[in-house]
Amino acid sequence: MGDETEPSAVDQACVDLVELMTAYLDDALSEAQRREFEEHLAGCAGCQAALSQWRTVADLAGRLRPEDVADLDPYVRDRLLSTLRVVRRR
Amino acid sequence: MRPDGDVLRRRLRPLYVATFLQGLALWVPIEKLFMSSIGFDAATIGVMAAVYAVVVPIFEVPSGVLADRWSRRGVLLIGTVAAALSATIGGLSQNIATYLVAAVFLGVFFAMQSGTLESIVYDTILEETGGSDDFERVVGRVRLVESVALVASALAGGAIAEFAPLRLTYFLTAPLLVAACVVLLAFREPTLHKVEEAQPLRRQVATTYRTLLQRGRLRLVVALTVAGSLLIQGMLEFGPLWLIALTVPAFWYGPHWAGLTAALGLGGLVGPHRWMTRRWAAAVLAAATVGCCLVLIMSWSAVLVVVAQVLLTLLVVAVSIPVMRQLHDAVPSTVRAGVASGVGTLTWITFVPFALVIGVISDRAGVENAGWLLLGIGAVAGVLMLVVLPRAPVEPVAAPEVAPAPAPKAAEPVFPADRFLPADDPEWPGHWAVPPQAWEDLGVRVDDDAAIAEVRTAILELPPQLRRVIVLRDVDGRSSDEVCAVLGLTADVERAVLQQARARVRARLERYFEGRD
Repeated sequence: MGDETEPSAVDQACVDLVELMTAYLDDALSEAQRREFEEHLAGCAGCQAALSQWRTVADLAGRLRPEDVADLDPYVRDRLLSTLRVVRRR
Repeated sequence: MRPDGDVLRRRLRPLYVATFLQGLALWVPIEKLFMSSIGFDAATIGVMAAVYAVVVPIFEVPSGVLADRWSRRGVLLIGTVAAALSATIGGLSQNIATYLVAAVFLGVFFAMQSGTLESIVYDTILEETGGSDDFERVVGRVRLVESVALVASALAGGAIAEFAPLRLTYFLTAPLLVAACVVLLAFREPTLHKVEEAQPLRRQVATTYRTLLQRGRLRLVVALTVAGSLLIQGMLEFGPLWLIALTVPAFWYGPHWAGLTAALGLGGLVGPHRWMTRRWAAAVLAAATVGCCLVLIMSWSAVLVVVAQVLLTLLVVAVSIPVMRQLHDAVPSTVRAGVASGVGTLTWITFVPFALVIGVISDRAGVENAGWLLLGIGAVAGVLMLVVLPRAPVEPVAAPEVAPAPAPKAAEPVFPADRFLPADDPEWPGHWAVPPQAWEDLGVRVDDDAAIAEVRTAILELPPQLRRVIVLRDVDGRSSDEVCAVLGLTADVERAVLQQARARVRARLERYFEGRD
């Protein structure tokens, strides 16, 4: 929060801002939202770190090969096993 | 044998028995004889083939969708009743028109049966064992039962026709089909396809077609299925033409037909073996497929031609079994029968021009030249075997959601609530209480293999709904639009799901990095 002296009236709370990070990175915010987001970010070290962590997650995931995480057999099994459990519970 | 085995076998027994009874079509061996006795000639036999070509595709996908929405057993029952009506009307026929009506009913039976039977088998296995490992074995057994029934009916039908009117074979077939209905009633249907909430019909049909036509691996699986069916159908329908061209004695036709029908069953026994999906096996199977087609072009001797036809049929049936499993593994239960029937439709649609071209070529240039068309299809099938059979992980794209997946109901906050000051904090409401640290500043490598492995574990531990989206977006690098289209999500839901997935991976990475120094 370093540089800030007082949260301005239009400033977002960090708790709300972090919910917009994916939308921000996807460039899916409106012009006004984006400006507000960047203004907050400029003055908030915590949110800068959060965004940087967010980018790290996406970057590291991007370095996996699809076959590392996309074995369909267990995937289908998981999906169907969970539906099975629903059936049995009824 | 696992304890599940017995339960599964007992539950599937009515299906085997019904399949056997349905396969006992006593009229098959004498059909052409009977048809000519009521006035059919070559041209009107062509009309009947056209009736099938029209009726089956019309009913295929609707019957599959009906099976997915209503009841698979119900669809099998309707099909069996249609077959019984077909046999009865066929037996009563005094002229071409009524026999064509019988053909329509038989077409309805084919359409109802195809896709539905495999789907019911797949879901039953999944429901009993929680996996699809037994699918190939059971489908192989179904093929075997079908082939035994086919041979038995060929022998029995011929024998009956020796001492009784041809019509009797039709009338005796009908009660067997009624018995099949009774047996089916004893089958307890799996309910996997009903678990998810019912979708509007339009959306289900759209999902069925989208699944069938989507890009990627499933398309190769479908292509191999269609190419294989063309080869098998080609052998069954046109195989005897080679014997005619080689002017072999009539004695040969019996063993030839027996060999082909036995190959259907033997292929069912070979197909479930694990080695089928090895790389070397795929290479051998592909080479053998092309080799058999070459032998048919050469047409050196009747023995070689018969062996090549039987071998080709056997190995294509064998290949079709693991391929069918890949198809079903990639498709959710809710659209299973629809998609499987769609593949059947594609087969029919391609078979009609294939049959016409083979007919024209054999007529003008001799049947051995029609072998070139088979070689072309065999070569395509061979290449596809090399790609499809060695079972690489199938992209998750292959299983689109039927319904737009709802956003997680109580979406967890991206950071735990206690990392922020409360909303009523006098000075910094909602701002960081425990701000995250920049990982780069922790003095650890944030991009080494260990960190990547940590991300992998985190992704693998995600619930499938979250995992699918983060894999497509961050691992595969697909665009948001693409992912929305494939999974049937709105942009907002897709983003919310990705946000959740990244949040969980982030939380794990944070524990990892901060515990590491």
